[in-house]
Amino acid sequence: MDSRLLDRALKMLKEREMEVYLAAGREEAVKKISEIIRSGPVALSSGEYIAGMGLEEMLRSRNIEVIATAGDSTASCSAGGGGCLARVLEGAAWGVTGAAAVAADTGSIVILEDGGNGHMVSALPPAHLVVAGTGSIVPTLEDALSLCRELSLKSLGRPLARHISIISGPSMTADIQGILVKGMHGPLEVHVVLVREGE
Amino acid sequence: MVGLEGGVMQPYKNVLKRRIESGFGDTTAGMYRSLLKAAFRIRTSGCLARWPHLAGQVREIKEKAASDLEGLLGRAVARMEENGFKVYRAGTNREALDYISGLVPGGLVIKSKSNAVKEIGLSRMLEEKGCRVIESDLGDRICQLGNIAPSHPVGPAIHVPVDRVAEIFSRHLDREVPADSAEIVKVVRKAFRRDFLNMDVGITGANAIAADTGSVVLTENEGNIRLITGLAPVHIIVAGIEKIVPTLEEAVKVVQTAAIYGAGQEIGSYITILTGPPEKSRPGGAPASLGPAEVHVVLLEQGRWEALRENFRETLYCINCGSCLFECPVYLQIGENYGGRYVGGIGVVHTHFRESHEKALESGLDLCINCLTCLDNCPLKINTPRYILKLRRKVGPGDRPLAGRLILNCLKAGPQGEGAAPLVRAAERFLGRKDGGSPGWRLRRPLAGVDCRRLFPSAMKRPFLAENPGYTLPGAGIRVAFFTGCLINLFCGEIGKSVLNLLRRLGVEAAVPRGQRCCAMPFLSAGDWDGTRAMITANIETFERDGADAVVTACATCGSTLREYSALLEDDPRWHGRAAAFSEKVADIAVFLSGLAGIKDYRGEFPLRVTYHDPCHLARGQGVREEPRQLLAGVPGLELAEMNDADACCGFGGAFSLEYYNLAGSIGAKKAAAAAGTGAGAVVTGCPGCIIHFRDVLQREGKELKVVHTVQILEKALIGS
Repeated sequence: MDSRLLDRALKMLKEREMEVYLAAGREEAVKKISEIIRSGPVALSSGEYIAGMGLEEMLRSRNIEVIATAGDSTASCSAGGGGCLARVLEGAAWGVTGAAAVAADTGSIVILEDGGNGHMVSALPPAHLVVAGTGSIVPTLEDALSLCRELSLKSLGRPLARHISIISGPSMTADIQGILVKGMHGPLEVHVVLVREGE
Repeated sequence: MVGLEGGVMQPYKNVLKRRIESGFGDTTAGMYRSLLKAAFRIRTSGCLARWPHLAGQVREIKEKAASDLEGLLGRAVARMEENGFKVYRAGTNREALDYISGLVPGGLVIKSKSNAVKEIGLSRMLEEKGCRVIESDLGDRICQLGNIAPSHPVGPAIHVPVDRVAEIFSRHLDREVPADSAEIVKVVRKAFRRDFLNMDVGITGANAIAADTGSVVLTENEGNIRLITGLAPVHIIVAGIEKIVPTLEEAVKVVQTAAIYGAGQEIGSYITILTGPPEKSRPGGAPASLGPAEVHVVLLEQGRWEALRENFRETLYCINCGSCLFECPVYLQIGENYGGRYVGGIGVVHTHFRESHEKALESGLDLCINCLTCLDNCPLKINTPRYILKLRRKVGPGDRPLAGRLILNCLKAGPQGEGAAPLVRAAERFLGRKDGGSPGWRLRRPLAGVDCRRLFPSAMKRPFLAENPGYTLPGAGIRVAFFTGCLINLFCGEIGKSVLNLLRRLGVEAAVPRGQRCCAMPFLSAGDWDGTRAMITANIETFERDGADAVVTACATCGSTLREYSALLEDDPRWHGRAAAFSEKVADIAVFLSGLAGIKDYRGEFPLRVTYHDPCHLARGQGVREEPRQLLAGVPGLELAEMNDADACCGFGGAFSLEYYNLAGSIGAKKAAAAAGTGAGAVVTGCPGCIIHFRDVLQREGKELKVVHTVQILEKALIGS
């Protein structure tokens, strides 16, 4: 891992008013997250990265309610547009997602998905936590888009997956007399846990 | 109706006058526009330090897109359809409305901020159909519920006091909302969520469309667009075809540029890239992805092809960031009353193509002062002022106010408006009044479309050119010809004398060619193309005959216009080369003097505190900011105190200030205050137009400052009086 790239990413994410943490490995990442997330319900998006790190188990062991956003747990909802999952997500205190890429130059989190609900897990709850490996850091936003194209082609055989969310800070508005207030329609807080990998 | 008061009174003038009055009436909104102006300037320039090349790249992207819009549109539509979007190409806005009407039977519609949606008047149509339409941007929502006119494109409700906002939401939600912005946001967020979860249709625009991937790209800070795109059962995207760019990476550059120039942010909190509707429900299971079952993309074509055909190509580069507005002097005064559904000068041009010429007149085709601030601030460098002048050619000369027509006739009749001298002197004598101590005169009552508050300078007994017939000055080396301009010729001969005295003192051979005519700006400004062409060709011939190495001017507007000749005649193969050679020779007197060695031998100390006003057509028109300041700073003892917004327009605008004096006067009042705030004894500038207007507004505001031309200071310092 290029330490200058990592430093730049950390600096820019912080400049975008996100809380940033650097964990030495997955275990430490889970520990950090357990310190950040103190109560639920927590909505987990369906990425492999999150599934592989034992996050759900940690949360359940602490009696924090977990909302899985893909698969059976939402099957009983009759979906129509916003649907039932949206109502469930509306009740969540946290949304946790992965990231396909982190762009250092703009300080952006890039979520790429063709199915799944990362786009709403990162939009509806008042707090959003992103877990990503330092390997997903790329120098520029343009590089991040190239990576999205590459990943789409590899896993879907199409030029681009259906949905990309580029997140560069909390939701905010300055519409009332120019005073900045966070959390207008989206998360008030964005926490980014970067996990060092393979070092 | 033909009357002395207004010439031919066009119906649009009444509409325009009402809009100006209504803009003036809302002083709180005006104050906030000024506050935001300062904030944006700082924030945007901070971003530009990190992203210096982005805007230039986006200009190239848009040039490329517009050069093959048809092909690009075809590719984008094919790709989007492949991705599962339902694409509708609307040849007219009526077609767009009919198509959308067929999609929306009724119910709850939530929309985000979108110029394209505004352009077709969609909200009104849906409301008339019985839909409940909710604006989801907080500022827009405040305006919608409070029935408040927006003050600013980025912060439409920025001028509404927090207790009024609390009152609006208390009434709407039927509960006590505290007058605190954070509390209001908390309460409103919650209330909005109910609506988002129950919405039937969501409507957004698009900041850009990528042809290669068939993606729609949207940016925002609040998160309302994300909720619409993720929760609406049916999502309708409305966008002009000019939003299409070749690639995804380019589309993201466009939205980032919009954030930098529109909100002073390096990047918006959210960029959403949609490449087709979400995956459909699996049989018997839950939907794989939240989001609409149908996504429609309605592409607006109305007026776009015409703009391309009539060579208004750059107007299609507009990314709607609003940067052109923030410092526009007319916009700062009257807000969204300037422009149509698209705001400001570029809005007037869009209105012409996308609605009608009559609407463009009502939206303020007359009001642009040609100060070039919008061009300067535009990331794409869209030359809106030039387009406005071009559109004015569609207004017949007979539709101009009488005073304007008289001026043009005098300028046509002889060298540098010479024929106007007796007329102006007669007007002063028979129709004018002189206030005690004022440096000029005013009309006793409004006449011929001229406001009676306008302070006119007295015309000289003999015009400058008549006084210096065929003036030539021997000297060594370079030979220059002096282009006087009509104002120096008729009113400010002392400036001309200073120019000649300085040139003589510095050993430059100078001539004042007798056959010179008006620079053509008054004709351009009035939309009189025949007159423009006649002036330009006459000047080129005169100065070619004279054969001088350089043509110097002491009028910023003349200089800037003369240097534009090449661009103005670019479609005329017979004249273009000659025009280019002429334009190349033109230099402002400050630039010319700066290059001379003798400019150092001053006669002594000149303990005077002055402030310098940048004329629009010098600073922006010719890129001359440093030279006059350096010349002044070189004068021993002279102290140069910078005023705030030294390069903001003074409000003169030639005939503009005759007809729209209330606007010209209030724009000037700000300058008067800024100049007086420096404690200077004199305002120094490089344009006789600015000098005349400054004297007027300073007198009106009761400020005692003198107003002089840079060359007058230099003459005193180098030669003495």
